[in-house]
Amino acid sequence: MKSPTLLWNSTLLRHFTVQTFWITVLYMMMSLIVLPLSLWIFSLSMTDASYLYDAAVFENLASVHLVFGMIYAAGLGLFSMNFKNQESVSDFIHSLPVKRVTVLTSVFIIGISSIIISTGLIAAILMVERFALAFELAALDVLSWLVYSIAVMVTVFIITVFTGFFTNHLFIHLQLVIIIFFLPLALWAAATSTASTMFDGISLFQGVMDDDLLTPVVENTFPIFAVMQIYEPISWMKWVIWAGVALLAFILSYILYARRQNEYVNLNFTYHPVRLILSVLIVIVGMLILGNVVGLIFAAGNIVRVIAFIFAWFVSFILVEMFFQSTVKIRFKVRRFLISAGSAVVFMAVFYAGWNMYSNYVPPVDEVEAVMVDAAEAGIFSGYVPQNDIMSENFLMMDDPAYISDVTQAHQYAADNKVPRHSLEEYRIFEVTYRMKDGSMVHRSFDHYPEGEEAESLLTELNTAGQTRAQDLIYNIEDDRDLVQLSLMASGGSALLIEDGREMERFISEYKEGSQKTADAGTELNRFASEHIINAELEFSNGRFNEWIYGKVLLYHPAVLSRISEEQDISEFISLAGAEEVYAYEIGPDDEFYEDYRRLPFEELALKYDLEALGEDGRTEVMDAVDDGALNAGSGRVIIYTNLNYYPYEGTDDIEADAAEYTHFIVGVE
Amino acid sequence: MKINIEGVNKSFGAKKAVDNVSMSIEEGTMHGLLGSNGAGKTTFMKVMAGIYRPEAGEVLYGGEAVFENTRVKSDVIFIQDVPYFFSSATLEKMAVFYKGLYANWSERRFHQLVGHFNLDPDQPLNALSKGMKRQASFILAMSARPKVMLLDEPFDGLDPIMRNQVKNIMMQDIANHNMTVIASSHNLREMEDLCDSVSIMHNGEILFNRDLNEIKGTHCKLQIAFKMLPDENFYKDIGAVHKNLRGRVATCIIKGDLTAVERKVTKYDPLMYDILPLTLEEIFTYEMGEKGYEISNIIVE
Repeated sequence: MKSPTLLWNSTLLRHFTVQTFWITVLYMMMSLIVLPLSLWIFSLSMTDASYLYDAAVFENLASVHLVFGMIYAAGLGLFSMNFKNQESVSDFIHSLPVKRVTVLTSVFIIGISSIIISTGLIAAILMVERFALAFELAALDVLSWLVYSIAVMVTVFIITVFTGFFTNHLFIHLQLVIIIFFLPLALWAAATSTASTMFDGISLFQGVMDDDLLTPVVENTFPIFAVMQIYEPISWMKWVIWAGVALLAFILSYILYARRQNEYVNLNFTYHPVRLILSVLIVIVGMLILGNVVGLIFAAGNIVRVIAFIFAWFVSFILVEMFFQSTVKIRFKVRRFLISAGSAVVFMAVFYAGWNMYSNYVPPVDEVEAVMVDAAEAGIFSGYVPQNDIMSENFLMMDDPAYISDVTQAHQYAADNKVPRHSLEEYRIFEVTYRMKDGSMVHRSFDHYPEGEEAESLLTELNTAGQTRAQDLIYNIEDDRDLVQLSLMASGGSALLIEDGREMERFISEYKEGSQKTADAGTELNRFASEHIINAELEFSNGRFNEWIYGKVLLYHPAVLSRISEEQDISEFISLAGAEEVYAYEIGPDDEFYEDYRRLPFEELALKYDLEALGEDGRTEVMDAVDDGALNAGSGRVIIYTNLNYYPYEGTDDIEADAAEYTHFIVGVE
Repeated sequence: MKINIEGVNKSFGAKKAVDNVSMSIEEGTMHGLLGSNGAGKTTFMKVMAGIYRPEAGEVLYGGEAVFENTRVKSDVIFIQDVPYFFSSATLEKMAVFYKGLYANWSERRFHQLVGHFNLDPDQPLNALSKGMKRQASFILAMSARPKVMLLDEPFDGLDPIMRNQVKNIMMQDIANHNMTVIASSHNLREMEDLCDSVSIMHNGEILFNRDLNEIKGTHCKLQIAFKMLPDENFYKDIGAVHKNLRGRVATCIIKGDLTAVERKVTKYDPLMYDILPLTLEEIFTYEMGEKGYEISNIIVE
């Protein structure tokens, strides 16, 4: 016990246990409420329908618990290390006949064993409680939760202890813990969101394949990553990295403590350069956020925006100094002021040049392998690319070189003719995602695609039969082994479900065979049908639970029509049977009917093309033809009928909301 | 345990708080470290306690450096100017803590001292008065039976009776157990009766470091009155190193062979004279004056 060679000391262990006892009690109380008690209450109030969700209940509660657990671990680190924050305690502890290595080892032993014992006790309660629950809670799940929670909390604890060596102030230590975990995210989020309001073309959230600008940083922010991992398969690679970080922090803690100079206990920060760097970075974050908000509020032009950033920088600088000096009566240091100001100027210069280059970049055609476009204005909706083994990698992506070239031209036009972003009105979204030949992804998202004839014609070029195929959910199924169910759903509410594996396989095979022909028959009618009348849904198992993917499907495909007619009348499925009014029209060779259908309100469309509602006989004739399978995307004769599910937007003058495309369905009939 | 301090430096940024300090303190003696506020006494004491690492030089206890040396530190106890106790700790709880850390802890002595100072061992220490806290810290320190005790302003807050009790107990340990005590103070008179040797610190430097008995054997104060003041030869003759004249009364500090002073003085036919031992203040006045310092600028009380 009193040997100088020992790494720990029982007296110090007792001391640190007493120091952190009540915070451990608090954590245990919270854990008891969040896990055993909540599970018990859920079990008591469970209805039969709730059985569907029991797998998620434990995960959801575990994620809430983990948030408390991380706060507890940080609290343990903060209060264990508080002995070095006051001169009297620091002097007392360091005058005792114990080495620093012994003091720190005692801190680690007590912190880690408090985490293990308290969480272990909760796990023991859960192990007993699971026999009394109305739903199944596997012992392995509890053990996995225990090991995982301890790993996360120990990581947070070690990093908190390490952070403590950079300050001699409890409140600043708390700030540093928050900073070390969240500063990269805050800086990147502030930089990208500010950039996205200053430059059009930057994709913050609409990126695909989990590869947008923000997601990688969000997912690698430890507390967020730790909670997300409860719902996902363990990412061993990331855990190895975080374990390495924790190990490094653990080792560095000993090195920093050995080098610690107790005489500077009254300084808020132990290392001046660290303080300076953190201060500069946080001031920049504050400048970006506040400057951006002020710029947005005043819908500012460039000069006002610059003034807003200067103002925001100054306010942030003062606030950070208040926090770092732990007083509102700050000591103003000219050198610190100048360094911070200079850094902000350099940052903004790099920021502006970098994002300008980023938003102007259009990849060379010969480096692009495939491309995906979302252009609402041109009626091209691609949506979100799901990450699974079911769909082929070309789902939603076009690899036709001519198409890629058309996309880069439209993209170049958008980049060269950017609309000033002084306000967020008048959205005309154009998003493009390139899969490059080197495997990387390039995303650009324009909220304000330029108007004008050239812009329109470039977009129109992108609406092709190939695009229809690329977006087809069933056509792009790569591996159907994990499929649980395939559904064809009509906007009127009808649904056809295929659950039998062999039947699904047969349907998919038939569908793929005939897709080319159907898609080529008529791009416009196929697109209108798949956007407004029918869509498909795939339910599949990811090994742990079921997931769903939604997407487009060709209404006019013979396999689809045959499948519908086996179950119900096609006219009923496509909501033609109950339509209030039905119109027929023969499209002429020079007609811009589809374009007008997409843009004009139905009244104007009817007036322009002299549409008249069919009488009872005409409707019966059309419905009979449809039920006999006469739907044809290549037909020049179209039937337009009322969309009973359309509810007009209220309080808006948006002409798009009332366009015929939304108020009326259109199908081609032979 | 003999203490050797060899060329110790300690700075706070650009400011040197301890500047090339060297001294030696014998085992079983008490050394007074004197100096005004900000002289560097506390910093020096913390270097001696192994709390601060010196930038240069070493503090050696029995030949071993103190910094991060648990063997040395278990024999050295430092009592801060404001004693520290854990929040809500009682004397009993602090005793358990000390007992776990100091190998020489004496439970018997602890209970003796608690009884002697009449403190309630179960009362929270932070609720006690400044003086009682100091008594408690003294009880804890003495119960650990250290070989060296470092005291920063040790008698601050103690009433005269308690001061004497503390001094007595300390002196007993010095006499009986060869304990070495280094006490810092800005109070000259307090140290005068206790210390075997003293040093004065000013701006981080040791200006003066002497054994008091040695000084007292070679220096004395002469107060002498004449009908008519003698010339400078008188002062040279008696070996006066410092003189102060008030009317026809001269007060001199004399250095050298004190046995011959009376013989030399009577040759000048004074009206009356008295040979007195020097007070600490007078020794400093003389010593520091020689080095160009006014003692009143260095030590306030």
